[in-house]
Amino acid sequence: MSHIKPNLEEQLLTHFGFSSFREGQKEIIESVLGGHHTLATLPTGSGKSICYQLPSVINEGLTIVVSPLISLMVDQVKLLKSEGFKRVTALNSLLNFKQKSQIIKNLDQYNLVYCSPEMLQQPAVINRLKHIKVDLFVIDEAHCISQWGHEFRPDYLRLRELIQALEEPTILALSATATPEVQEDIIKSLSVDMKRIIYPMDRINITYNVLHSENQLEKQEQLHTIIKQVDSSTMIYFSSRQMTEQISLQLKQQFPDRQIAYYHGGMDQQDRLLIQQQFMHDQLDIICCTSAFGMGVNKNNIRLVIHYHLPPNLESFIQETGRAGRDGAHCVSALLYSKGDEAIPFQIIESELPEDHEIKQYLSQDRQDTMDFLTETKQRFLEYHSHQLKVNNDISELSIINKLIAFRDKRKKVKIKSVLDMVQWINTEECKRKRLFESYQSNTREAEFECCNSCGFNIYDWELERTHELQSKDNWREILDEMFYRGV
Amino acid sequence: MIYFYHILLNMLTRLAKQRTISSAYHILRGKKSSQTLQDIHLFQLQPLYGIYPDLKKSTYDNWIDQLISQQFLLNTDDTFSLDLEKVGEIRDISKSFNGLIYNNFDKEFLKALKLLAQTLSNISYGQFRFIPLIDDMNIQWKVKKIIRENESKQDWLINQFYQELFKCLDEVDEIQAEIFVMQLSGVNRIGYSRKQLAELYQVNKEDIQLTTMNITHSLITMINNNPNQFPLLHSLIPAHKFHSITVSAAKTLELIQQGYSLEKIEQVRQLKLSTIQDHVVEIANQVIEFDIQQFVSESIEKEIKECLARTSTRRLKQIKDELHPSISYFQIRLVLAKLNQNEASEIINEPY
Ligand SMILES: Nc1ncnc2c1ncn2[C@@H]1O[C@H](COP(=O)(O)OP(=O)(O)OP(=O)(O)O)[C@@H](O)[C@H]1O
Ligand SMILES: [Mg+2]
Ligand SMILES: [Zn+2]
Repeated sequence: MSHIKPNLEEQLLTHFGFSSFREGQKEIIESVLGGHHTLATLPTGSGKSICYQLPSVINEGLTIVVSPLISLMVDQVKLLKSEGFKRVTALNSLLNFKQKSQIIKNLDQYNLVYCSPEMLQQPAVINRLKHIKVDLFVIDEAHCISQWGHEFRPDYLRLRELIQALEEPTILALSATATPEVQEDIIKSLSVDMKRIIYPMDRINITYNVLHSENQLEKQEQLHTIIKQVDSSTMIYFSSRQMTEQISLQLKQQFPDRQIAYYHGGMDQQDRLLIQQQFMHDQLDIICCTSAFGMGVNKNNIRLVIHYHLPPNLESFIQETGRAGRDGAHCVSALLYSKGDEAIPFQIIESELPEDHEIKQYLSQDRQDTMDFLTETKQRFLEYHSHQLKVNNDISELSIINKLIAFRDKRKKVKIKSVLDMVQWINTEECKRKRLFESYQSNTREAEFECCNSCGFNIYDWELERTHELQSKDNWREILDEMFYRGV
Repeated sequence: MIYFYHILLNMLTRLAKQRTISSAYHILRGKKSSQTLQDIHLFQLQPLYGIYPDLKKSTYDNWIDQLISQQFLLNTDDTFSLDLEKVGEIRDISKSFNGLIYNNFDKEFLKALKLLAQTLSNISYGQFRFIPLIDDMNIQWKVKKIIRENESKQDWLINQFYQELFKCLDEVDEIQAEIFVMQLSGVNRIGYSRKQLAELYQVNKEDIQLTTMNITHSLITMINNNPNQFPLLHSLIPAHKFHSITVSAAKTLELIQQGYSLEKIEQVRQLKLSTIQDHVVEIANQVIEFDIQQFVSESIEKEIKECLARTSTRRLKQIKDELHPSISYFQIRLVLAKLNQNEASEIINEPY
């Protein structure tokens, strides 16, 4: 680092065009620039990315960002590139061999490289990194390290070895959903001393609502009423792909004037990109989506986030509602709950973890690359845990099986408890906001607008009118003229 | 609008009783196998080759199931038949398709055109920062190159692109032009997906795909025929990709041109003779200037042609049975390939 202390505000303005820091950003940036390993929490949408993006342009060496979701990574890189940052790239499984080699070869030319944890296990990547000056090693969504976290990713546990191999660059772990327990776990897993910069994770501009219903029909009526009253940028989350399509079709029939589309992981890449960008450009009013449309989405004027199904845990709920109101203005979260809805997340848990016979089959397979009978999440789970166990080579096959089953059951317990916590939150008559954030922080801040339905907010009294006009040109000549600024 | 249903029936009537039901699927996807490449020549389906590269098997099967449930189609073990009376008149609306010749670069051309449109639209409003809607790195690179080369005359570039595109689209059907333009993205405007257009026009997603491909082929033909009128769009067509033979066949061709015999190639490449022969048939199908005289003498060629004129079948076994036993399948296939090529080149050279 240069010996002249850079004026951070000036740097922020030149590189990102923001005139001042938001709460917490400067403190975190100063901490990492000062070489302190840092664990920081800030609410969703508060601007955690700047906390490593700015250091990456100030530092001489490389900044690596580990990110759990490929789509999130790709979106961030696209956005940065579109803002004129050239020395940024992503290393992930979407690249073909040639592209990957090219990036690895030129790794020292970049300021900022987003990486999937899997990619950081590859010898070619590790060896190259050993010969490069890595200044900052960022773990975004760091709760993925923790066994107690909702999104535990075994690959994250291997980061420690890598960091040690790199002669300890400064580490920055970021999260918007890390309880004190999870924070402990993160620090323990990385086995370094970390300075904690813990900001409250609650979102003061979101009003929380839970609407109970007796059955799906009543739920659909609730949805209809809310959509009718609120004509503004809206996301509706579902836990099944099929339901996104079904409800989006239904809403289109009910609201022919609104622009509505669905988005899920089963769509092809080009369609996903188009729909996402249409939504970002306010060409769509309502998007019916699964959690595949989530973390990467940074649209500032989303006013309403509806959960048609309950998410599998409170952290996902916080992440997903966190898409709303990123401009700081008022926004609303509405979770629609029918008794028995928890059956879906319970089913998903069952399908995510390997069953006894799958564990046995996995271990009896000698070629571990023909695992078609397992879903990807099951594979990942088995691969990591059996690898850890086999490091002890005097362990018998039977006891490996038993240990894997024990791991599986432990994981299942954590997940089931998360769903039960979610249901408990849904049913509480206490302040929703307080209960939502109580495991993260001792005090919840006062809501900036209305608080929640327990505190007297009635979503049926809430109306919003459309503020933007949808373009209506459909004559191709006019469209072309407008596109290329002819005769406008 | 080009309807998938019409295209499908069109293909199936030609393939009925001769090929399996999935042969049409492979043709639409542009499978690069000797069998499929041979089929398109035998049944004169060259224009439709590879016009739907991302057609899903499940989608295709759905269409077939529908035909079966309407009792238009009967699937048997190794082939299928169509009830032509029930089906009614089958219109040939595949006019401007040119799949065999274009399938190697049409997608690339379309992507480049879309990205150039998005880029120039943004630039025309003074916007230099936007998220490209085409992810393909090679295409991005290509478009950047065009922008860079014309840095000093950006206004000219925008105007030129606009004029060329306008002129092209003016030539196709109004509805086609509309469907094409609706898919373009520009400043503050993101194009519609195929699915969304299908909803808007109340047709199937497959119809939008084929219609888009059809316009694309029309544009390519127009541009290729008048490169002077469309210099900018012409530069988006890669010049070197006009042949579509498999990589492996290309190697075989190279060796033949160096004077190797088929037996020698068999040794060098460690492939079965039958595979090498498949290559030669593929080459004979694709490469107009390829001469088959070294494998079929003039008199045998004449004999085969006469037999073909006599019998109307395209089933090899029947043809073979009619001929002298010393004439091989390989020779028959080569003659067929050349014959088809002449017919094909007539189709291809038709004006759009
Ligand atoms: N200092 C700032 N001034 C104004 N806007 C800012 C500032 N810092 C960040 N932003 C903007 O805030 C938005 C959210 O930032 P970012 O995506 O980094 O949030 P995040 O904390 O990572 O959220 P999440 O937890 O949802 O991932 C971005 O649009 C970003 O440009
Ligand atoms: Mg973030
Ligand atoms: Zn409250």
